[in-house]
Amino acid sequence: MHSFTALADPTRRRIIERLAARSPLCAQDIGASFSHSAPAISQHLKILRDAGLVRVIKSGRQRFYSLNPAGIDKASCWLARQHQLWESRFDRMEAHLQTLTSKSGPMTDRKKKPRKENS
Amino acid sequence: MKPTLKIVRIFTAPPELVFAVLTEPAHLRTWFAPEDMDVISYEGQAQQGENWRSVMANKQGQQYTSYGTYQELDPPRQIVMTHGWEGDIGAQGETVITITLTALEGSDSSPKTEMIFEQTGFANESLRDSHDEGWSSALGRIEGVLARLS
Repeated sequence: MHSFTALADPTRRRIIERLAARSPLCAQDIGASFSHSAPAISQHLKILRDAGLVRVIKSGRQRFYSLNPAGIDKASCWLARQHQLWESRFDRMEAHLQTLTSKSGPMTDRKKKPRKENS
Repeated sequence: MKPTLKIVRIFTAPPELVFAVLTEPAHLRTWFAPEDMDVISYEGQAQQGENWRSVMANKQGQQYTSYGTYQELDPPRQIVMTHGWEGDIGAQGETVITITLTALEGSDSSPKTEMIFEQTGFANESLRDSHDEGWSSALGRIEGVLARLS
């Protein structure tokens, strides 16, 4: 599952926050702060693991979970790129709007559709 | 770096015109790519349930395709749509974008519109309807924790 889709679920976000505060933790420790069943917590952990946000360390029969900084880094880099992309798009949009409003002069006639001139 | 996907802009144009520039393919073809890229295409009618698709290319000719679905349209006030990427860069899944326009006090000769752009969630009804804080703030806090650790 995609990392952001994995984070779309509030329980999984709380698991991430719990692991950010203290880790590694076993599934039982993580489950202790939720009312969910053990299989439900285990399923959430699997989704977070598959998304690369959480990693697991096996120690004997125990499994310990912690955050995967690389996965979280990747997700936030992607977020930053999206932000940049939209800022740049809106710069162009603003320039385009300026050509529309200056072409039609002062917008005294609102019914006029300046977009027609440009299409 | 704290990720934030809220962008606020004020345009010197009435909301009707800003809305048209945000939704009509002929307008979108002029700006729907960052400044170092060209818009190759933008297809899709801005109507609830309709899909849109846009291709952009960098100077080396590498193409990137974004796509989505219009979920809600309330001209000239609000646009809600999904936004995803085809190919490898799409690996983070689809996000939901909400754009809200508000007319600001201004003179008749220079009407102003405030645009609030938020990329806050996913193509997931239960998330959009919940009042729970979004993933971007969760990520922001986690990064703070990671920064303290490293």
